[in-house]
Amino acid sequence: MNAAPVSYADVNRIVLGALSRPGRRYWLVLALLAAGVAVGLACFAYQVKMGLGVAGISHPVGWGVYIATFVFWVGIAHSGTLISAILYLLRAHWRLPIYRSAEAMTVFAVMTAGLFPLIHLGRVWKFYYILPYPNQRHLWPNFNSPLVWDVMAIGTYFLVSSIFLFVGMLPDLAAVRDAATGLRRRVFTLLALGWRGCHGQYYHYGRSYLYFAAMATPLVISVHSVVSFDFAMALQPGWHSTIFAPYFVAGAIHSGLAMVITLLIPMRRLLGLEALVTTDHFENIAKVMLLTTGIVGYAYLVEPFIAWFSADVFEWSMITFRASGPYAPVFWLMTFLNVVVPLSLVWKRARRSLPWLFVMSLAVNAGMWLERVVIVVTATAHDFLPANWGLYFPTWIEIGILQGSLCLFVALFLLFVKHLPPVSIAELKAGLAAPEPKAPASKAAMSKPVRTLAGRLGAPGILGVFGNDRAAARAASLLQTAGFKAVELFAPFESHACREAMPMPPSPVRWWALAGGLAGLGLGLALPMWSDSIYGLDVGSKPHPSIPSFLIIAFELTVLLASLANLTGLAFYSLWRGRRVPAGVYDPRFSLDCFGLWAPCAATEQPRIQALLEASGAKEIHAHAG
Amino acid sequence: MPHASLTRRDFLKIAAVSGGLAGCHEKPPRSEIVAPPVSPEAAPGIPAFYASVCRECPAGCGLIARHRDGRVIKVEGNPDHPIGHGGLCARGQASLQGLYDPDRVRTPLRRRDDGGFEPIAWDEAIRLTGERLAAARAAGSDRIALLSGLEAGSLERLQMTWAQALGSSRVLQVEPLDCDPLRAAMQLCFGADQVPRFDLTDADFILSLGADFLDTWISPVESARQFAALRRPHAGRMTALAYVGPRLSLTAAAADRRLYLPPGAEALVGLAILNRLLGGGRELALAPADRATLAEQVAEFTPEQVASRLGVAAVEIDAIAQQFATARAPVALAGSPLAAGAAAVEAAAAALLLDVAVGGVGRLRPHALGRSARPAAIASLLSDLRGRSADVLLISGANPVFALGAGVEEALAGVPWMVALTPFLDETAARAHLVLPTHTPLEAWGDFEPEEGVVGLQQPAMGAIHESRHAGDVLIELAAAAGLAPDATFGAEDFRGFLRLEWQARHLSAADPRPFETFWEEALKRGGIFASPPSAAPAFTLSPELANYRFQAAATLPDGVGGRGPTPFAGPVIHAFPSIAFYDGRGANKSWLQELPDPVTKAVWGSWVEAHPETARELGCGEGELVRLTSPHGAIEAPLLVHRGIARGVLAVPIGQGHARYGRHAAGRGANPLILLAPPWEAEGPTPVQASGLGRTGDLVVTARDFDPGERPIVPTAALRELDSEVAGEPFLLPLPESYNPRSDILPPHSHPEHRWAMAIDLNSCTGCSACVTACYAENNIPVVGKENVAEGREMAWITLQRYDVRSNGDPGAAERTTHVFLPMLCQHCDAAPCEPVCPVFASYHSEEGLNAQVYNRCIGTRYCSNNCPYKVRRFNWHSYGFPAPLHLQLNPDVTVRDKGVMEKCTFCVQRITAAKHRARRAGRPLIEGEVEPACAQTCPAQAIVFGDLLDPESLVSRLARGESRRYQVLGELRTRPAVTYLKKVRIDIV
Repeated sequence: MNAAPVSYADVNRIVLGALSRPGRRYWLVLALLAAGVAVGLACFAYQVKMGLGVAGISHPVGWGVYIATFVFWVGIAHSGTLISAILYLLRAHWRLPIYRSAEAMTVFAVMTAGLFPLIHLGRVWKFYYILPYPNQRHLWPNFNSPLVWDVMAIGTYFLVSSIFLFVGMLPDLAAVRDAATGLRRRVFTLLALGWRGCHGQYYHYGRSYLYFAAMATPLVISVHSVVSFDFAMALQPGWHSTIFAPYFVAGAIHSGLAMVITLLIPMRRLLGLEALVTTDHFENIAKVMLLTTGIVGYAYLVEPFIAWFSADVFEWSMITFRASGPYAPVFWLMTFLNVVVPLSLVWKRARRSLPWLFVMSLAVNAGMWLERVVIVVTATAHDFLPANWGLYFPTWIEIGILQGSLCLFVALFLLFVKHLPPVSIAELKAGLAAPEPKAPASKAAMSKPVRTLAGRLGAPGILGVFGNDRAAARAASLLQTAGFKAVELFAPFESHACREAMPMPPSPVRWWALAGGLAGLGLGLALPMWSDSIYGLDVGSKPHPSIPSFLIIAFELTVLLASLANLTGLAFYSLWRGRRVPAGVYDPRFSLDCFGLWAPCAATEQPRIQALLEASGAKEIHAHAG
Repeated sequence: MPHASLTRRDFLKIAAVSGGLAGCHEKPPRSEIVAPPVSPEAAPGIPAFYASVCRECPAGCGLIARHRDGRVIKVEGNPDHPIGHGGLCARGQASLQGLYDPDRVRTPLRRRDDGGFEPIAWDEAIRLTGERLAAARAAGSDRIALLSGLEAGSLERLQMTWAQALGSSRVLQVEPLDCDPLRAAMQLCFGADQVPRFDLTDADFILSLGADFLDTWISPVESARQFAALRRPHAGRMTALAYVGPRLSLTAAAADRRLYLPPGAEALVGLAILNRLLGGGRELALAPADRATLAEQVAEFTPEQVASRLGVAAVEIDAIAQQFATARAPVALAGSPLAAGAAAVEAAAAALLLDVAVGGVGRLRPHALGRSARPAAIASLLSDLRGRSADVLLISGANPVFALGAGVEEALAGVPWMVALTPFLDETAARAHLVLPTHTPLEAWGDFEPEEGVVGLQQPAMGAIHESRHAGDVLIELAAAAGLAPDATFGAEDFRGFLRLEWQARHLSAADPRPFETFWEEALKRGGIFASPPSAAPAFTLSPELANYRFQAAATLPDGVGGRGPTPFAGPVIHAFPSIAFYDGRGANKSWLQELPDPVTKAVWGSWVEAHPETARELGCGEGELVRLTSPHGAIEAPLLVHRGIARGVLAVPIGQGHARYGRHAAGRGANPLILLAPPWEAEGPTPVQASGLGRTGDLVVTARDFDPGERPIVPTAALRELDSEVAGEPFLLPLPESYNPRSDILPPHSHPEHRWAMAIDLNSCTGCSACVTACYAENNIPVVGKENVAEGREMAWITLQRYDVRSNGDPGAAERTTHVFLPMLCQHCDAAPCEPVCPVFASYHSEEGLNAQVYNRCIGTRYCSNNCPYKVRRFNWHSYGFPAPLHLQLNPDVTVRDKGVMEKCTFCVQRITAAKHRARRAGRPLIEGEVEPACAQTCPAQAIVFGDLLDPESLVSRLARGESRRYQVLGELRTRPAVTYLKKVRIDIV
């Protein structure tokens, strides 16, 4: 058990230590997972060659475990963004040590989920027909179809959550870069995109990150709502239900949190993160799960109640089939795993027992997968006309593809946690109580030799190195008061103190995000309406244009383009701006545990600045006379 | 999927490549196909139509073969023909697959000593047999025998002439389902050696004593049409049907009242009804003396006595008797084709006597079935063959080894030289020394006269695809090889010449003023000559022998028959019934028919044993369990299928499966119940069997298991008594803009500028015969997926017959009172179709003419449309299914062949709509009502399916959809506005 981190160095040691060279067991596990993926690929290839009949799906159950698993993985994806975006907006600080891995889980879960709609296609080699791309026939996808909404929603979710993950990692990538040598350093130099943690970068970065969080939040709600529309928009008894969207979102978070627990418990142990990820964090997750358990349980009760109350013969027959037909064992097992087992979390002891939480999380994972199977299969197996009824059981091909997808997910996650910072270094540091600077102008500090490193700094000026952000902020404040406006502050994280010391107007990134959002809204309405006007094919007597359908497209494109514009704005201001500091000024310690204050100045002004810096508690002062 | 064959798609690929190499010269699919002899008008890409006769059963329906680019691609009923009136059953539709059967014998074959066959040249085969014939002829008279299938026309006369010329009189026609008990009853009652067909026209009550006239009995297409006409409610009246028989046949399903009784018990019920009829109340068409004698003869068969013997309530029999006695023009039918013994004959006799008594004897017309050999004659021939009194045996178009049991096989073993003239290497041909491949009916000339005055003329609709020859030509060549001069013997060089000679005689006797060639061409075009039925039907009078006859049915029935009531269960009896798909077994190698679900049990690709739940309990066996049935004559194994539509104590097994040879689909599949029965010449009555469960599950594959609609309002029925008062209200939304109400509908209407195609299906007419299903396979290139795939729910039928058992109120569970509704289910072409908006790629969309169109090239196979279809009528290609050569030659070039991964479904035969529109446009006229007819509607024997344009207020479909009081939409409450209007089935509650 590592000691609780108290210093920046502790954080660096623990997190960067997790990225140490993996052992043979790690590679062995990865090799096994790769073999699992290969088996899944072989099953898929066989299915493409022979036709979908090698799977158990048939008439009338046209969707089986493929679509159920798709819904399951999309659901898993939800909690990452919930923790990183929604809890960020709610300033719930317990998210800090867990949000990075949860976000990575999100991205990999979406990637895994995205495979299944392709796997279940009859003609997967024509999958691109579903994408809105210009073609010589002017035939666009049917923007009325929930499947196209799915493509837009899942695609947007994947892109936005990937960008969110990457942008959030930028300071940490710089930290890894600065702590590494050799190949890893070269790779992370590329990945960090020249991040230097200077004040000018953080100024846009903070805003931008906030917008990402703000845009990801409605996505969390919308994505599983759209996925639920695959069912809710259909006529099938058991699918056609108005509670599906909230029911699916709650279920998604339920399963996603369970997956977070499932992944975190072994991860913190294997990577030695016990000091960062504590039982308190698990208890917090458990509390949220208690809420989702309630919602899921409520939905389970409401479904049969509505069916009974409506006295709809088809709906009621469907519900009784679910609860007493051949799939009844699956249905009751699902209810037990998803509701009864996690209800144990009402006891504090259960919430704080990691072994129990692990068991409970596995139960909910299995239960939520079964829930999707129950929804997908039972409704089509037993619909309106008894002569059409039939049963479905998966074949070995489906099971092979399923285990392959699970192996792929785990392998991606394993690769991530050992090669990219699994915990946010920068935000953890921001959350630490910074050591109070010693009394200023001590003898030792005053007598610190001033080294003139002309060649290294590259431009005339003075660089002060500080051990904590408040000292650096105070120095920056003093310098500005003294009339030195063009100072630049380097920090390993976005410091509140520094932001207050160097106040700036709101970042123009917001205008980029707004412009992107508006463009997305316009495009999202214009493209479907324009494509509808070309052929105007009649589908199910839908009107031309079908504005309500197109609003879903418009929503997704709004978020997508706003996010992309936000990213572009961030890159333009933040990364571009970072380059304007002379190359030699940056010190690798600035991404780890030191703060730098750079004041470009002529040689004549240097003594005054030096005095100010020394008075603020600078550890080191570097000067370049020019 | 194994498909080593050349599919059309493959062919086009190859053609495209080699076409490029060979200067864009595209070869026809098969070079050996020659244009048919009468095709001056056949042009590439333009269909030509040839009239012919269906020879899949003795009914002799007329058909029209659609010929395109050198091959027949579809057959349909000939609307001019008085038997079928344009209808054709499933077997008739599948006759194409006989022509293109991949397992046809392609060259003459000679049997090797090891039992295998080797090809032999035609000349050699003819020479060898000719020598044998010459030797046999020289050895004495009757040393040559010819066993033929039922022929009623020129080939029969050629056979006679041939045999005579070779010094033999032994020409026997074997028709396994020849209704011999009915013939015996005709002999008994009227002294007439005939099998009659019954004219149902005008009947207002029909009593069927085990006669499945809507299934396979005598002339099912004709009967179905007549019955459907009688079932159209008019002024509060409609013909009622009562059925007494062992199981839920299609005829039983159509009945308003049924009595499930073991085979043979029909005689008792028939006699009891006769007893009641003779007892008074109705003026009878019987001489008083006859009436008195008859009354005395049936005196012991009071309904009470019979009812107690059978363990049923007397009121059940009384009710039927009452109905019969009070009907204006009742008709009784009897004589199931396979029943044997006194009980079967007496059941038929009871029906005939009932008909005589009510003056309905004029309904009887001699049918061609009466030409078949009586069992005694066959037995005599077989015993002669065993005694080696024949040197050469020719078997032409018959498979007695399969149909008549092991005794035949053993008798044939004694024949020194046996020649089989057949397209197929069936069980009988496998015993032959020489197999000579003959044409299938669609390649052959011929004629068939099912009843007097109706002579169907057969012409080849295409050239032969193998080295086969006409059976008649082979006979002529054999005669020549045996040293006879064809010209002198037959008056012609070949069968076609012989046929023309025969027709010249007809021309003369018809006293037709036109020259023969005109007469001949007219007959070819029309499909034959159809004299109007003679106004005075042959008058049958009661035979004097009848008075001395003592009815003995009660005595001959096995103990325990009845199984209900006080009589103890004494072991089950077997009921072998002809299946609608295979008839006597000849359909078993046709994949369309193997994959056609039995309309009652929904079983496919195999055999099954039907049993009542109580019988199953007595046997200690469960659904699907393999049971072994043993009789003194043989044993079979088949899975048990339990349902309530069967008499207790009866095990019913369909005929047709259980072939040892015959082809890939037939051989080794299922079980042949005929081997449990005594041969017809020995049979004395119902055959008791020992049944035992084998404790393991058989391979029973059914396409549906749930027949109970429960509370679902999907098959509402209408009581005849309430019909006029019934309001045609309910939510009925026409698939037209007029049904969209801006106040209650969110969706806007969409207009149909020219046409709005729609269909109406009368559930009161539909008998469940399933002809529509097979017609759709033939028209739309629907692949056959095989047993394993059907078991997984992957069958591709675009139209299926759903069966629902509607229990009448207050009498739950009584199988006898259940209303059975067959619901033909196909794409409903909804106006607000749920399948369309969910398709992400516009593969499914709504055409301007109201069709729910499916664009195969666009489909990526998400199957969302199918999930969202409340009718589940969409079919997904789970694999690529092949069309083994030469079956691929049958493919309709107007319809895309689909590959794996795409969704498909009923198109309302859009290719026919397009063709009709082109035809009309070229002629510069509007489409005529009825001009467009989808394959299902075209073939429906009951004419239950009507297709047309809803925008035309005068069209029949329009009038039915708008004004018929029985109209309803299946799942209409979903507001999808289906374009298929169903007309409710009408119940007649016989009290």
